[in-house]
Amino acid sequence: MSDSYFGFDTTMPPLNSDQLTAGTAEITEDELSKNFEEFALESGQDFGCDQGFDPLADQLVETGDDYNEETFGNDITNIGDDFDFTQSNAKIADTIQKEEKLYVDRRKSAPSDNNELLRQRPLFSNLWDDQSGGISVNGNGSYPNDPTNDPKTSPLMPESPISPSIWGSYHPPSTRKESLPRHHHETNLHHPSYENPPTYPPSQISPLPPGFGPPGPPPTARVPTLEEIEKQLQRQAGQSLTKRMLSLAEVEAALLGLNGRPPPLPIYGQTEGAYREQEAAFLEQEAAIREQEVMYYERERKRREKQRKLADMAKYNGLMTQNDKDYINRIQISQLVTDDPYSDDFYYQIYTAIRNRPAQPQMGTFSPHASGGGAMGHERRHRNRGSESGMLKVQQQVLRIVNDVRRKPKSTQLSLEGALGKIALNSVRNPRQLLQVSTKHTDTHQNHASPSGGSHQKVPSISSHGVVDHRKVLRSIENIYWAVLRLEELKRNQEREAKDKWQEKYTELVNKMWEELLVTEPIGVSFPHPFISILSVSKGKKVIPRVLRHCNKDQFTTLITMLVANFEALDVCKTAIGGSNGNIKQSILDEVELFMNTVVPPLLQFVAEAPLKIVNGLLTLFIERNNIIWVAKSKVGLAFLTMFLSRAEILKQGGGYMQGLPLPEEREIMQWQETYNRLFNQLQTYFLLSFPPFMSNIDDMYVWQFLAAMAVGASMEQQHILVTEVRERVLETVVQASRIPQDKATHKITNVNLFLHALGLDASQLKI
Amino acid sequence: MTLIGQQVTVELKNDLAITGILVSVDQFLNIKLDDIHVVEEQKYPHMMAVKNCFIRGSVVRYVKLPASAVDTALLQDAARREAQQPTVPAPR
Repeated sequence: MSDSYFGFDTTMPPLNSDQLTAGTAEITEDELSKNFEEFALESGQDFGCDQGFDPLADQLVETGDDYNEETFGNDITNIGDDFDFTQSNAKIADTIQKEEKLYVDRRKSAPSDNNELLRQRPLFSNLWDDQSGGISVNGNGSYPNDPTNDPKTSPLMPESPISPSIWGSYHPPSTRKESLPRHHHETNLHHPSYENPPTYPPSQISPLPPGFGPPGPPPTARVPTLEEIEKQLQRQAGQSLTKRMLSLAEVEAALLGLNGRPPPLPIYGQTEGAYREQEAAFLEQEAAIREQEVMYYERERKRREKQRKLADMAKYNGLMTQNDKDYINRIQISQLVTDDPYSDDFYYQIYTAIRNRPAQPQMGTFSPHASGGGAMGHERRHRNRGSESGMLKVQQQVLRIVNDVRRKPKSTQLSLEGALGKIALNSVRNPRQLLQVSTKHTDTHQNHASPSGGSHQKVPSISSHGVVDHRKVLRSIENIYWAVLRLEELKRNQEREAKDKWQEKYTELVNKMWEELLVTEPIGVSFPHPFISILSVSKGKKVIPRVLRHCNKDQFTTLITMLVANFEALDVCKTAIGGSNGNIKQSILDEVELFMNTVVPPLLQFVAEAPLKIVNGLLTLFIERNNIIWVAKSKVGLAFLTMFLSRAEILKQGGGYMQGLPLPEEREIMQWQETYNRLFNQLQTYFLLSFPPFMSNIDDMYVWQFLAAMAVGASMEQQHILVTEVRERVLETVVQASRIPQDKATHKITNVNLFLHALGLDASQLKI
Repeated sequence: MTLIGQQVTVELKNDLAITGILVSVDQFLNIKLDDIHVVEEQKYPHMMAVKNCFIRGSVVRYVKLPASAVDTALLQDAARREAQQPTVPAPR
């Protein structure tokens, strides 16, 4: 029973096409039933279709009857057969049939307007005719329809109830029905019996004596079924084995058809392989169906569970009125509401302001927020809110809450009527304190650090040995941030305050910030200079563009002068110079990148507007105060040199006129030329050192830019020197470019051309 | 601005770290998460069946936010401002 459902050997001889064509749907059903019943006969099981597959019998304990004799006091070998009612029934089967016939005839002769009955009578007789030569139900010859069995034998005998009662005891219809959905096979088997129930006159019509019928279910449904089975049994008695096998195939074919697919009969039986394929497909399909069913049941189960939960919770529906909900909302919102969002919810306010105007140009990507833009964004946000009617309501409510909070700002606890305990009114502004830090110690420390009496440390007051304490540097950076934040806040509130007062405050804060920058500390007292120390910390770099936004021209000049004068000491200069192998730590490269992105742009902007006099002075200072060969090895150093050189060149050519600057005087140009020559002479024979190692992955564009700036201002002789020095590098780069992918090569060539174009040449002119 | 609907990781004081979609946060920083999974599934297999949760704010150690949703520079400024709030006398 393992291979196929019916326990047949499913590897059967190939079917011939005749058999296949015979397999229409209705035949399939018939065959199915026959097939099944035949099997039942062979295996000696009873006709109960379901019971045939019931493994209950296997569980019976057949052994251990050694003491039966003792127990029952009988000779067990000498068992009578008086309990075998079937046998005795068989004995009278003949009579029963006769009686049935008799009964039917009697009904026929009796006047009846039951059309159905009339119609079915021939069917009934056919039923018994068919069994000629067949095996009888009970295994002994039951001789069918002997014409001599005339109805007169027992004319008054009612239609035999025995047959139904016997069958019925085996086969209560209820069991069968229950088992129906279990297997499609069975469903199929039973179809005929359900489709034509009235093949036998309904038993209500028959004068069944009370108590003669089986207990339990009414015989109506049962009777026709039994007859049907009997009929089919008898009909199939002489069927051949091959026929049966065909029908097995058809069972499966019918099954497939049942599952919504057309029965793939044509493929069937063409070859054995095809059949096997078919079977495999069937099994697969069956698995899929089962899976689907499982999924369906799972879904259904979940849905039910959800519904059950919902229904469970439904009893709490409407427990809170809208008023209650509003009240709770108010309690929650009151924690978040503030009349000064910029101080209490700074991050949110600025963040939204920035997000709301992504298109608005900002001064470099480094700037977290433009000070002026914040207020604008804030306003717009309010307008947006106002346009939403729902938000208006909330706003009004919020306003009320704010006023409430203002009226009693001290309370940190709230007891509600009827509530157990108190509701803490801790908020972001007033959190529950977990740590009690004594401020006494820090106070004394501060006072110690700044005996001058300021409330904050008068920072990098240079320690005795002349080295600035790193902590003090950090402290002064924070002080700068503090001033910058205040300044930015002030800018946001510019419209709100009186102009005079505002200006006063602003100037005061700018001065404070300037003080904190420590730019004006005398050079040489400490090393490095405090301002340089600030610039050596990344957050110090980051604050510079925000500082410079509030600086005036003089402060700018002072700052850049101080920077240039102490350039060597900058971390991005002194540590960012690679050795012979050009290895620079990634963290330092990041610092360089940060410096280029934060500090350089505002300075570049300043220099781009500076007159030649200032540029001249700065470059002179640069050369004098620093080891220019050393500085020229660093990216930042080259950037500064390039900045000065190109600005001077623009001014020399009268570019300053557009900016409202007077044309540079002859004397200034002379001075510049002098400075340039000094620079050139110092760098001569060292130009190649500015390049990063040839094989490194560092983009050397900044070097070519510098060389270009040098070349533009150079005399013919200087140009010649320049070309001679870097000639090798140019050729190497061009050769390298011919071997690498197109896009990278283009970039390399463009870099080289920066320099070559300044000389009036082009990389394409080079002969390699 | 709001991180509701974004994926966050909440680390609790019992070292359990839960990743899930943020549903809501209240003034106690109680947190509701949806579609959750525990970061160390092997260690806490009993959490595999849990699909959403409410976390009492007091048991939260850290909330890890998606980096793209946080402006760190601005956050630093905000922290500086908070440090300058009236309770602490501002440096003058």
